[in-house]
Amino acid sequence: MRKRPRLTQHKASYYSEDCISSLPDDILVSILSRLSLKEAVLTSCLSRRWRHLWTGITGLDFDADDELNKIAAEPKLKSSERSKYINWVNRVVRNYRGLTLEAFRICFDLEKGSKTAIDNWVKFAMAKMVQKLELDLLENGETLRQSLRNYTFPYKLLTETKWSSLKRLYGNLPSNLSFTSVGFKALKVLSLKCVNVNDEALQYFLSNCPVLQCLSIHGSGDLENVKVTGVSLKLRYLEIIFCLGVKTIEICETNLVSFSYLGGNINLCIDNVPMLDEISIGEGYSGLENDVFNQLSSCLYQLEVLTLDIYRPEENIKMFAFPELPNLKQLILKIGAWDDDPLLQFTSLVRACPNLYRFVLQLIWMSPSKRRRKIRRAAKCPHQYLKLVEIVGYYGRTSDDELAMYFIENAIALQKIVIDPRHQILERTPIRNDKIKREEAAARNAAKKQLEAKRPPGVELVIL
Amino acid sequence: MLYAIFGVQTFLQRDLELRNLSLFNRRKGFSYLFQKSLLFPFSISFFLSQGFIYLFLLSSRKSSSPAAIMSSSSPKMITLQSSDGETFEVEEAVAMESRTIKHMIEDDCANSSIPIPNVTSNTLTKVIEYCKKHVEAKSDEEGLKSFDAEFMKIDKDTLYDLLMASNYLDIKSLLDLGCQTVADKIKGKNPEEIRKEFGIKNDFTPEEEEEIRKESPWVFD
Repeated sequence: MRKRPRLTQHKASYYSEDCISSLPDDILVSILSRLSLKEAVLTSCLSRRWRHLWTGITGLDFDADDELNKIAAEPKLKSSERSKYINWVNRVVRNYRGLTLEAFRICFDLEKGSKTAIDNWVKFAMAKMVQKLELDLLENGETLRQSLRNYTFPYKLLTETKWSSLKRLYGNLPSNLSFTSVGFKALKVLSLKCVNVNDEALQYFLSNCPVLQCLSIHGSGDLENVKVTGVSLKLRYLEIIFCLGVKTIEICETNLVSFSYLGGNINLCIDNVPMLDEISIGEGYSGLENDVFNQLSSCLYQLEVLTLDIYRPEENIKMFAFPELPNLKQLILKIGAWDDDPLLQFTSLVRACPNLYRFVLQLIWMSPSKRRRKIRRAAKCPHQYLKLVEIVGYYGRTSDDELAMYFIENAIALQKIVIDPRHQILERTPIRNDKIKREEAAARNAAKKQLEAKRPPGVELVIL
Repeated sequence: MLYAIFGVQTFLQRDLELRNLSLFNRRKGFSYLFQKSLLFPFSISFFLSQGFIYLFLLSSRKSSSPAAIMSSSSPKMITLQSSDGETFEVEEAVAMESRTIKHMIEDDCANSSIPIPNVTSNTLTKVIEYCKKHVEAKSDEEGLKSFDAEFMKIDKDTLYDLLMASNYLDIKSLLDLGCQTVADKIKGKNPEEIRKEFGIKNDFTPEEEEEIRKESPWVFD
């Protein structure tokens, strides 16, 4: 029988040795940790060597964006997709063999009906000394639901759980644990969306998570009085968004760096927080209600970044005189765009920040419309340091142009203007998809027509 | 002159008693050599220590005088020896990108050349190239990104050797870069395509394959 000819060299890449499988386990696990969870699990069928490698990856991100889009298109699928999701997470949690977890993220539409399952996941995350825990249980993955139907964070259950019972459940636990009481000892980032957290639970986090740096709570029903005090707290970033039961927030004598609040009128007290650099605030229906600048008066002078969330601009601006903000470097205004409401009144805020370097106006298109009216000009007031102006959500209304013109005329150090004519809110089922595309195209053209001509030399104009 | 040197030496001896010995060891430059010279009898080491004391005083004063800058500006060179016997001389700062080598230098095992038994000369050349660039252009993020992209345009065998070398030498940025490159090659492919790309043989029985598919239905449907 004729001998088969040897394979030539250039075909060697297909028939070459399987060198990758000879790499040590921890390098292969490090590679798999950089893939999405589904892709990592997919490698379990490659060969015997790869079968259980994925069970050691460092992060578990149960992202189900496609499934949420499916539900948004066909709401009847919600219950079947929900049970599929819960089964998925349960199986992965059962098979997981790593000693510790860096990140654990649940992102799906789950309510209090799934309490037993979610409780187990939280216990699992705690047993694996998770560093970043995210429970993203928004309705449809995008909106807040009525807080009565929310899942409640089981902090009481956690204080009662013993290590022995966790060992029985999840066998492979880190062996350097010498304490008997369970707790999130390694937790650095905690993000809870549409999970009910009451005052005691919040205090539990602050006192039992010694390295907690970022705390973010969205849409929690039971929160009433938030109190953050203590020099030993490592908390640097606090976010409380749309927790409609909150009455008071007190932040005193702590090293918080960034604070963000969006919701109803509250009693806000910030006192002796020397490292506070960044505040994002929107109180009440219109956004600047309740004399918010007075509430912030003790820390305004030290701020470097300020974001104001103003839902309905016209009604309240005339009432308040803006205090001076000497250290402010970045000012971000998120304003709802209704009709052709004027925006020039916000220039008084820019005038109150002499050292401002970056100004961003983010327009959320509520019911914008274009009307022909005379362009008004604000009082001339040259600004020394403003270098970057961004108008995001530019619609092409006269009020948008008025504001752009104000900066072109008054910011003498201006270097760059960025105009982003895109609709700012992304929805899972954009019902008015075509209409939005047309509006965006019209806005882009309007920006080119209006602003290109008036652009001063030396200023870069970017239209996205 | 004699009395001046003697006075300085006793002062520094007292200093030594006060300070932690290991702290001394960790300081770069001539401080360790100077310390050894103190143990020699004064008469023998007189001429040697004169020079060392002078330079040690300069470096410990932390002043920005031209003399001090001159003495500390000549970089210390470290010799590395690959598994096939080739030697490479690199600046200390470049060698310290590897935590393994860094610990060796700090624990003073790095007087003569450092043997790197698991790494061939080809791979070591590439590793040194990477470390050099990352020390030189530390603040240039854009430049480093494009360098990394070009650097990773290599065949798979070199890539695996680099991964093993950076794992042994504990160079986190190179290890991350290599792992990310391999992960990018895996992304978006189905199992058959991955097997083809890496030459992995499917050694499962059909029953085992069926079992795996049943374990994770959400992935294999």
